Amino acid sequence: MDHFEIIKNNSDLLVEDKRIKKTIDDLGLKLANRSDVEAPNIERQEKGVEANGPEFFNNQFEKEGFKIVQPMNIVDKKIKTLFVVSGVQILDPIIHDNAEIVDQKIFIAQPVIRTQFLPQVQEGSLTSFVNLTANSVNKSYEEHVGTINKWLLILENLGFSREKFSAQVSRNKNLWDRRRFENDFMGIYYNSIEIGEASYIEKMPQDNRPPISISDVGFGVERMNFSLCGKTFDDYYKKELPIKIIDSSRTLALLAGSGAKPGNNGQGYRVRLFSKNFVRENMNVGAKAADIFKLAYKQWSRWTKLPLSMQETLDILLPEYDRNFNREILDFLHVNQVKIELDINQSTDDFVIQLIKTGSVDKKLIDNIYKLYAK
Amino acid sequence: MLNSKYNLFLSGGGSENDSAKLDREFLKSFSGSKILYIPIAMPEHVITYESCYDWISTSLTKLTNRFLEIYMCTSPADLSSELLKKYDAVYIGGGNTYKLLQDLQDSNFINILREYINAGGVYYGGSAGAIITGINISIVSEENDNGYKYNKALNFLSGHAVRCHYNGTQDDQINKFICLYNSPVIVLPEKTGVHCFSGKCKVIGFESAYLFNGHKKIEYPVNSIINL
Repeated sequence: MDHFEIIKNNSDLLVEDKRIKKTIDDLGLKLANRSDVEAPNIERQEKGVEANGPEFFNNQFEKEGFKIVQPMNIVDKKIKTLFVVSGVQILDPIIHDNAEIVDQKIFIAQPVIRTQFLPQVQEGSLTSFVNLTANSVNKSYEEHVGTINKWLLILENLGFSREKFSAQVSRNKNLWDRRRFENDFMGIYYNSIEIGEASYIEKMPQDNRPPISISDVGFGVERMNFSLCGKTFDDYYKKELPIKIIDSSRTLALLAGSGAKPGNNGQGYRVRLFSKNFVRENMNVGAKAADIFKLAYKQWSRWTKLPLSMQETLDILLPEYDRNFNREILDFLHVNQVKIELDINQSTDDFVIQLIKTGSVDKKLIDNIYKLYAK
Repeated sequence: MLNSKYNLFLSGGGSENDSAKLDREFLKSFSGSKILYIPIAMPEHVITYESCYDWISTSLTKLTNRFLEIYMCTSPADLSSELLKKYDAVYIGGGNTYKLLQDLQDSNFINILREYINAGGVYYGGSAGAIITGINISIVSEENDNGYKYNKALNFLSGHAVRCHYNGTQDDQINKFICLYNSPVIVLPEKTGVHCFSGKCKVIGFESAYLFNGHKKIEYPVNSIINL
C-alpha cells in the first residue's frame, strides 16, 4: 500500500515548527489564504516576464555559484517516468541509481510534460512548460532557504513585488518511485496564483549509502507570466488562438521534436492523444496546423536544443494530424449512419478522394470537410 | 442480491500482468474509448501522478487494438457529473483507501459515482478503488494513519466488504473485521479480480478468490461465480 499524508500544514505547522515559522518570517512571506488561492481577483500588469530563453536565469544562478546544466531530452532514458515531468529529475541517477553525489548546486531550465493537466487546460494550467529549478544534494536547510530567497530576489528584478508573494506550507509523508520520505513543502504564490514550489527532503533513503538531503526550488515561466499579466504567452501568439490549441501544439512540438513518434502505446501513445486533442480543438478554429507547429517549435528552441529539426518534427506531426483528422471524419459519418471504412493512414487529400469515390457523401459535406481541414 | 445493472471490475491490486485478464474483460465491456482515470488515492506528488498515468496507459493500451483515450483527473474538486458524462468508463486506482474515501466524500463525488454505477456505468476499481465498493473500508484499518473520519463506503456488494492484496497471512485480521462489523468479505489476491454484472460476480484472473463469511472461508476458483 502506498501511504501519503499531510502531517501538518499552514498555521498548524507554523505553531509547531519554529524553523518553518522563521523561514516564512525571514523571507517576508505571508501565509496564503486558502480561499484566495486559484480564485484571484487582482489587478494585472500589461506584460509578463521579459524572458524568451534561459539566459537571464542561467546568468543569475551562475553568479551565485550554481552549475548550469543543459536541459534533459524529455524522453531521456535515465529518468523513471516516460517523459521528464520535473526539473528535479536531473537528480534521478543520484537518488535512484546510486550515481556519485554532485557537490555543486545546479540550475536547469527544463521543458516538462504534465499529462495530468490535459482535461482542464486553461491559461496558467498547461500540459508542457519550462520548469526552472535550482537543485542541490546534501546541502543544509539554511542553504535551501537561501535558494528560495535568491529566487525571490530574481523575481523582484523581473518586476514582481515582494508584498504580493504568499506561501502555503506543509510537512508531508511522500513517495517518489519506490522511496518513502518526509518533506517540508512550500507552495509559493504571487497574486494568489501558485508560481513555484520549494521542497526540502531531509532524508531521502538510499540503497547503499546513508540518506541524502534534496533541495528543490522551482518556478514555471508560463505561470510567472500568467500571475503577472493574466496571459500565459503574452503577445507571442498574435493570432489570439485559443489556449487549448496553443497548449496541444506546444506539447506536440516538444514531444515530436524530442524524437517521440505517434503510436497506440508507450511514448507514442501520448503523441497520438495530444494530436487527437489538437485536431478536435482546431476543427472549431481552422487554424493552419503547420504554422502553429512551427511557432511552437521555434518557441521551444529558445529554451532547449531539440534533437529533431523543425522539418523532421513537421514530418512527424503533419501526417499524424491528417490521420486523426480522417478519423474524426469517419467517426462523424458513422454517427450519422454512413457506414464507410477507409484507411485513415493517408493524407487527407487522398482520403477525401477515396471518400468521394464511395458515392456515399454529397458535395456539401466534402466542402465542409475542407473548411474544417487546415493543414 | 446485486443490482443487475452493475458493471463493476474489482482488481486485487497486483501488477499489470497480474490483472491482465480482468483488464481485457474491462476493455471489452464498453465500445467507446474514453476512460476517466482517477489516481487520487496516491500521494499528491506530481512525479507520482505522472508515473500512475505512465502505468495505466502502458497497461491498458497494449491489451486492445482500439485507441484508448485515457484522461487523468488528479483534483477531487474537478470531479463532477458533467465530467463523468464525457467518458465511457471510470477507473479508480490504488493507494490509501482512507484518503480516497475522504476525497470522494469531501468533493461529493461519491454520490455522483453512486448514481453513475447504479445506472450501469462501467467502473474499474484497483485495490483502494475496489475496496471502496464494499460496505466498510475498516477492513484495511491499518491504512488510517492520519485520523481520516470516514469508513462507510459505497456498499454495492450486498453488505460485503472487499479485501485486496490477499496473500494468505491476513486471515486473522479479516476474521476480526467480521466479528466487529458483522459483514462478510470478498477477498482478492493480487493475481485475481471479479467482474460483477447481471446480478453476479465472476472470478477473473490467475488465482482463486475467497469469501470469508462468519467462520467459513470459501474458495472460488477462476471463472466461478460468487453469489452475493
